Amino acid sequence: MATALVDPKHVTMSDFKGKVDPDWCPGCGDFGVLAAVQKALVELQIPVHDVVTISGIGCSSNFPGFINTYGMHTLHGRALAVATGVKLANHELTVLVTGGDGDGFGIGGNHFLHTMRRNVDLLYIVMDNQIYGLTTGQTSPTSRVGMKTKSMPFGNIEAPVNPISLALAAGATFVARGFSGEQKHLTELIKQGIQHKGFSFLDVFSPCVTYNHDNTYQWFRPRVKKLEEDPAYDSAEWMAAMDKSLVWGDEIPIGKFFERNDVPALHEAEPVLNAGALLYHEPRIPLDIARSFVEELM
Amino acid sequence: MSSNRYAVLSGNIAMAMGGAAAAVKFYCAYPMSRSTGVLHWMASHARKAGIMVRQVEDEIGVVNMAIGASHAGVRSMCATSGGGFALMSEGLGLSAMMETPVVVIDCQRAGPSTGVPTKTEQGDLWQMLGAAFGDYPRAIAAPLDIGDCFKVIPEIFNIADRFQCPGIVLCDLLLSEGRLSVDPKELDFAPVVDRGELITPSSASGGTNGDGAYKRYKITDSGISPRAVPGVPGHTHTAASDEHDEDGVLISDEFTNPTKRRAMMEKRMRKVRGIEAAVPPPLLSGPCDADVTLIGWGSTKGVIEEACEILTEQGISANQLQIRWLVPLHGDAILDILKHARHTIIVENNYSGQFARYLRSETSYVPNGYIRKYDGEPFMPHHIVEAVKEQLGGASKISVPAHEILV
Repeated sequence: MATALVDPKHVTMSDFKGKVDPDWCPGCGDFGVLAAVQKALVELQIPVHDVVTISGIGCSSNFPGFINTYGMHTLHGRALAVATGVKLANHELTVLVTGGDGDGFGIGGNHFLHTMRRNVDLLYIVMDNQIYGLTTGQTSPTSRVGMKTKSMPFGNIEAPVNPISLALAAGATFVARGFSGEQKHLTELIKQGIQHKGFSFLDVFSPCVTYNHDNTYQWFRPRVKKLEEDPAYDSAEWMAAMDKSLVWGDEIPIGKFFERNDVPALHEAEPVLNAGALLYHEPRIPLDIARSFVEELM
Repeated sequence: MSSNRYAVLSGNIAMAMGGAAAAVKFYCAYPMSRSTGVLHWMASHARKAGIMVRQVEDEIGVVNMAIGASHAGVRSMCATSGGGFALMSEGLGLSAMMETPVVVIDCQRAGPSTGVPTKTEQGDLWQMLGAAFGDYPRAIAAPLDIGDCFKVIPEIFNIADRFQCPGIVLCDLLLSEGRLSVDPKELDFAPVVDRGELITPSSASGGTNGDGAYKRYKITDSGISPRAVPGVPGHTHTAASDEHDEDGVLISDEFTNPTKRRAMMEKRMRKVRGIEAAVPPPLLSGPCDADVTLIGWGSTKGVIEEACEILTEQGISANQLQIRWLVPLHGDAILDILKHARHTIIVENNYSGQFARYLRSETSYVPNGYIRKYDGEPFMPHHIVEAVKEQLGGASKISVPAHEILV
């Protein structure tokens, strides 16, 4: 029987269960993202100790505490910078970055832009709920115009960012959008994002049931339309992806917008890493090389 | 004159080479004048030295990227000047809270704000002392000369690694961009490298399964908890910027726990004792019974030394107490030295007497006088000599020498 032949190294959903249960509000979209990430890691059979989950600050940034991998729960907006350091120091690790729209597109906007153009090999999952949840309901960089929040009680007058077009313009080599209410589809996107060699951006509609009464599950369900169901759509075409990224209204596309595999990831482009992951390099500089450094100055 | 050949180098090159000697594997920076010399040396020698060098989008990214690389197990360093350091301040708190070491070099220039970017000052001390909110252990060293810029780097890395806390090197333009001939024997590329209690996939305990008992933030007498890096089987945990329990689980938001918070705070702060024991107290140089004791810190070592020689030649015996480690300060040792002093004067390159105020806050010690300079130029020996004579004559307690040469 199968049970008698279980490989001790085989990882299961229970291996990825965190030390504590999530304290997200009942019905929060982030539960769906957590489950999809765990399922994707099981399906890819990645050992728990080879995964680092890195976040900033916010409801969704509590994610690393709810999954059993190595975790870093860093500063608001800084997860991508920390993650770049982790990946470059040991590129054998699978690096996942999780956070929210305020964390990634607001306070962390600069790192978002530059991590994409560097093509750092990691999967960045943004649980985009178009609101600040942890701070109890203020306008976020993806809140729609007119949306009333505690910080803009008479309605938002600022245009939201379009994370998909932004990622495409910044040179992300894998760009996708998922919906927390579409588990199987989301799991598939996460698997693809992890397997992609380079920067993978996954924006996930993850409704905030407590503070965002505009963009609810009920609002998204009839609108989301999977790109994979359109046989004419080619995710290798950047211009087509850019066009598709601008579609928003009665129909909102989800799925893989774009992927290219001809750009080396940052760690592949760096000659210092030809000798393998930095962590395993000889710590000391050979003395003859050190002597040559001093000789230059004499 | 000896027939030895000397190396001629700047403080920035010395600090960069000190990093290479200290087994730094990751260096990143944002260009900021007075510190870019470190970046340039690192970048041009990276491939030979096997160091990953990255130019980052801003100093916030710099410090966080360095912390990320350090967290994954390699020694990481970055350098900046006062303005960039201000942006790094939150990151230092992250290093302290996650107990992930990082070494930051600050090459001081005249502030505040953009200030006088091409001129020197010792005006960042209180920024270093107060960087990031909350209480946490840190180490701050001010190199005394260009050779010392090299030596201080391996030393502060050993402190940062052993005590899993941020280390700050407080340099300034005078040393960073000054040049000096240094005996190559002083540039030791095989210094002690002590990584502290580090568990890596290739270390002995790293290969074993931690059977779930591993506690990243285990409460210990020393305050130091063994640090496992990602990739080690059986040691998964989350390192958090939120307060956390021994096993890394958050005790913030709705899970606050005053007892555990107190225990974790005390655990981290116990490291202060260890750091103090690991760092030597300062020593007095010159005759014990001198007429005047000149107290300085960091880069003023050379000019004060020269001023002491001139004073002695002119019949005023002088000795010198030069401070290299600002944190830990060893206040009791300083008081022991100063209680025998006849007349004490603190010499520093800033307006408000930042070190004098710091020494007073730590020890209640008040010197007899002060010599300060904040015009962007370093002291010249005669500035100090004349000010000492003026103060010994009772004319003044505070001297601000005028810089005669305008460039």
